[in-house]
Amino acid sequence: MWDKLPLLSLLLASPLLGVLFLAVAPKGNGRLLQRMGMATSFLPLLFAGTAYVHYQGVVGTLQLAERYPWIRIPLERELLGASTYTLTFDYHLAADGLSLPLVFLTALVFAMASLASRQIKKRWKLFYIQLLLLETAVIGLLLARDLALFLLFLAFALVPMYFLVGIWGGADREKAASRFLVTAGMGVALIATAFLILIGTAGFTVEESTMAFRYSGDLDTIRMNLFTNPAAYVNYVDNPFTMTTGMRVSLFGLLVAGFGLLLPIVPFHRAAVRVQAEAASCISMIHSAVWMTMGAYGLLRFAFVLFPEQAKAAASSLAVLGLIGFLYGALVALAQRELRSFLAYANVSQMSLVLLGLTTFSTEGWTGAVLLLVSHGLISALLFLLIGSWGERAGSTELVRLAGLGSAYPFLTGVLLFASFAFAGLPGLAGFPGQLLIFIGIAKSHRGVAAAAVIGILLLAAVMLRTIQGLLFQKPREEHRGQGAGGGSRGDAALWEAVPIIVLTTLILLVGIYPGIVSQHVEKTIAGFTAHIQSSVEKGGD
Amino acid sequence: MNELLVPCLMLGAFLFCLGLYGALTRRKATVVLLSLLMMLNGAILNLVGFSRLGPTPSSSGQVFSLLAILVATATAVVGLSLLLALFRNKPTDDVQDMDELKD
Amino acid sequence: MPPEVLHYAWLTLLFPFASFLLLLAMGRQAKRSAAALSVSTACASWVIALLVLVGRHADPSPGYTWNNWTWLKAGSFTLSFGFEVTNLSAFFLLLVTSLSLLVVIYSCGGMMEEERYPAFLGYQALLLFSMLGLVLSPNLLQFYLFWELLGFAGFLLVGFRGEAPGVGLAAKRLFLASKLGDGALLVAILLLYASMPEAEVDFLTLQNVFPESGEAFLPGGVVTAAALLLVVAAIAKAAQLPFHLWLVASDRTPLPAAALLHTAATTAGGVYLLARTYPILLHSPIALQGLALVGACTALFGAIQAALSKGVGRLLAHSTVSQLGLVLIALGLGSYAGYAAGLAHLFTHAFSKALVLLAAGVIVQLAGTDDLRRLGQSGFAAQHPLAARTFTLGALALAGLPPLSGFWSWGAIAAEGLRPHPGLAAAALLTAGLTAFGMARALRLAFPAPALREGDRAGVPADSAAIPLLALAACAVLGGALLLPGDATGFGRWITGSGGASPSASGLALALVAVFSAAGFASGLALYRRGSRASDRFARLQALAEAEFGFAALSRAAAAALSGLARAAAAFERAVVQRLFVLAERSVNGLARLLARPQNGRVQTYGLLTLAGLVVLLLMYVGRRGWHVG
Repeated sequence: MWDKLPLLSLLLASPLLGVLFLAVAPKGNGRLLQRMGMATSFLPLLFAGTAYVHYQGVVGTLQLAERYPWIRIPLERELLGASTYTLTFDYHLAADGLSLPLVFLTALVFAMASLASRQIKKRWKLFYIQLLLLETAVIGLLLARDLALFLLFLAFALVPMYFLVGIWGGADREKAASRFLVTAGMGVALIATAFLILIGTAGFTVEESTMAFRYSGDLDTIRMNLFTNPAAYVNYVDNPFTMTTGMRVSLFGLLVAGFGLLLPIVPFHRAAVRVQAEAASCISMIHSAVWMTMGAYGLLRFAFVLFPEQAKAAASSLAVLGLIGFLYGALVALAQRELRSFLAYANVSQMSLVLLGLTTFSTEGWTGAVLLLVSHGLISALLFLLIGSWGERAGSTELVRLAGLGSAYPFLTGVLLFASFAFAGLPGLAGFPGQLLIFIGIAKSHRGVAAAAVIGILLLAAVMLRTIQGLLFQKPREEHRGQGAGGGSRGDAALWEAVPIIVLTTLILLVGIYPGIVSQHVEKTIAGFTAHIQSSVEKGGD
Repeated sequence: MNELLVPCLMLGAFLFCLGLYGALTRRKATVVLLSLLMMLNGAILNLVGFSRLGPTPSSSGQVFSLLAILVATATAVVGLSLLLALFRNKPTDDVQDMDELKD
Repeated sequence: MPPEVLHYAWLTLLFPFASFLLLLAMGRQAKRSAAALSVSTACASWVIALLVLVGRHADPSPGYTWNNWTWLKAGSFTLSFGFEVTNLSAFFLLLVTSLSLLVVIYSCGGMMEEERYPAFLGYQALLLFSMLGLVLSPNLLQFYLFWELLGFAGFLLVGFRGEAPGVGLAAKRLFLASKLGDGALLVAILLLYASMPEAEVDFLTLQNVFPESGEAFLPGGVVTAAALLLVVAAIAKAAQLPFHLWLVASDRTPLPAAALLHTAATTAGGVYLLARTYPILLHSPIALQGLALVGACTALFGAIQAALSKGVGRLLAHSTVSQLGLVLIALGLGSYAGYAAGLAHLFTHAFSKALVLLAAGVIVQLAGTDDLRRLGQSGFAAQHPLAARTFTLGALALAGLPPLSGFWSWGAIAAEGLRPHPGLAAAALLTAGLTAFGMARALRLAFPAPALREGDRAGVPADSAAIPLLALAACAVLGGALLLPGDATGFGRWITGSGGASPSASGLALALVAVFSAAGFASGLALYRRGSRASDRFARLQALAEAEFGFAALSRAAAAALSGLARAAAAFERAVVQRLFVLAERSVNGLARLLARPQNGRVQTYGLLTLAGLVVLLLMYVGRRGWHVG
């Protein structure tokens, strides 16, 4: 039955349906708004789950594609032999093994975040509307196959994220939001520049039968054109633009810088750290599980796949950047005294590991990177959720305040232990397979880096040990006595906390015990990418 | 084509530039208003010059210039009364102090 | 027993895993059913392990491998899960399941009073699961997975009584030490993976690439580096110098769990890694020498420390460290005969040490103290004579006194070392003397009265401790039969799978061990006669021993260095990265302000800008005519 339905469009539109309902709901009724927000955020999860099950990973091609004409702008130009001459953008959605797991992750994290949004105490209507708009934008940009569509969604995602951070966070939220806007906005600007240049050069095609000349944002066209250089339309006689090697290098640089600002690559991590340390915990969940993931997605899909030769040339320096970020993030995290910044730096470190995985240019490393993105999304979302819960109980997220609370809240302590070790890559939990694959990949491509990166694993373990040692190994402090399950101010975990915790925990276990449920979707697509790159680099060498 | 046309146009342009310079640099509001009128006169000189000395002389240029003078007078009146109204709110005639547009 | 039983060896893994999940899901109140569940699953594992061992005995083939569950696949990399049953793994399987069965039965006693009893049993099941998974792994990557889990389970068990003082430190030390071991093993695996033909890292391929005779098919540098890394990983897990602190600090671990850590699980895992990758080690003399050297140092160091310990827990921990050092000496000899002797010693030591630890558990609980001297005053022997007797028996076995089990394996190690490496043999013998001395001291201090009073037998409590204590005592006495002189039982041949690997029969070595341990024991007994002031003589040494001869300070210094590094990084973050970021932000803001400056509300500025725009447009219009761009 799903064959007939435009599944991806439904997925994309379902949060907007929620926006519609919320827009007509009365403003003051917080409970109603909360319920509506939570309920509608499960709709995309349903569609994403269906798409995930529906996708045939063994084939690994683009599936569930939907394509409709969207924008046609005739260009005022006289060209020899051209019947029409247009700027063409399509509404083109499709899923492959790279985007689909991330889409599912996005839908899941948004649903969990909206369950966790009980901590939001004001302006619910605006909050849920923004949340759902952000979800639409993120899902849209993960599925978009047209550069213009991607740009639209990307720019569209920026605004709700800014407000979500700026209105509902901690004390310094406005500053954090403005820093976020500066950094991410810069990234988006760089990406937009690169994409416009791409559309204007590699986007050029001629339909031979009708002699219709057009510039399009179609990703496959652009990829093919870049790949078949120099005989391609890029250098077609009538195409006024050409693509030189220098241009390729600078386009690659623009894309890496742009997506690197979103990821973040290490010297640019301050804004991400600030956001995760200041935003409300459900927004931090989204930022770490979805926003950072998006950066890695763009880096892989656009920078690395479109410009493989340039990326290979830069692989060593990017690997060193990733290594530095991996070690540095873990080290700085080790010195933090507060859970949120702890996790924020640990996230930076983990994303640098993803970058390391991307620099391997092997199916192993890239599959590992995608697996790590998924597992990191699940785990860091769980951790931020838990941090929110602990913050409510202990009054603050300072490590000192948490010390000794372990016996008062055994369930939350146990889950925090679980999530911390999952983050550090304990086998049997979700973090392990991704890390292992990345290391296998690096061992083949940059052996020295692999050996040094193992130190990062040790540091990460030490970081995670530090987060929980106060809970596990200290006596309750005087003012906390009597708190907790026995008869304290708050119970161990309320239902609305327990549900997302249990869902995320189950998924982390599931992916850890059998990573095939993710990797079988990812692997074929990635293998397609690497085969493409292999052939393109070989051709370049001739 | 009359050889007097060029000096006439030059005079108009000179008046216009003088007025423009005055309008952009003078600080007294009344002087700025005067400079604006001077620019207008430069333009009117063009109209008159062309109607009289142009390739196809006709009276329409002169009619236009009469109209322009009329309108210029009206605008000067409006401008002066605006200045008076402004002066009541803020006792200054220095255009540098009139920066309420910013907000 | 038909060999098909080997195909079901994976069931040994399944039971503890199921039990772990169920126990974690149980409430705190369900103590009785938790105990029943874990005893029955441990028993089931044990029965299967026993059947597997019997099946292996009948099966002449080198092993049975099933390796077909593709767990993770990406590109050319495939990680298949499966299991492999060889003589070695069947032996370890039985060793581990028997010890854990006895420990679990024992845990039904005094441990019941713990608040989180089901969780405790669950952690034990996890430990068992990871150890068995380790033993059955057919390739290094699966091995690594369980290796890491083993460290985690140990961390949970050591940190179980988390709020007690000192426990946190012990758990952290264990975790970091085992993480270091993980890191070393991971690098070794990656190194092998990157250089092995077809990137296979299963043990069968390793055996082929590193043949028993002749050169390895890998470059020498890679072999040496991999072997050294494997040694580092193993000594971190097996609590050897300089990583021994985690075991020593874990003296507040619940004793049943400690018994597992000391004998069956974590430390044995370290030895098992060496045994499993022995083909690689054999090709690297440097690694073997390093291994033997570390083993010898640790054996002597641990024996001295044990002889100076104040508390029972520390005494036994140091003794374990020392005896594992002995095992490493045997493995470091670089011959399959030494290898067999080392594994035999691991076996005999495991049962004697488990016996002593479990007996000590009863004793400490009865006496309410861990201190040897105060134990002596508490008169526990009268309350639980079985514990007292088995404790004595175990201590004697550990001391290497004939004819108990420890003596035979010790003799085998000494015999192997005697000719090629007299220095190592001397270290082993010296360790025997020192260990015997320490055990004599411990017995003297803990039993100041005539060791046993016959009259109190009536008070034997019929508790859960009785069965494991008796069973372990039997093993401690008879376990030596495994290694009767001249390999009469064929253990050496069987476990190494090669004919020429029987530990040699050397009457001289046996006699030397007997002399050394008897001398040490006698001098210990003499020195710590009742009322003697021997302890005062060693007061300064004892103070040094309390501080671990500087190792505690060393570990603190390492921790301080790490946190110093972290603080430095954080300071760098604040001083440079943050400042740069703020600078960048400010420059963006500054640019914005600069661009906003013309918007000052003054009509004249606006007019000027408009004029400038007009001029630019005009210039462009004019310029376009002069300079045609198509």
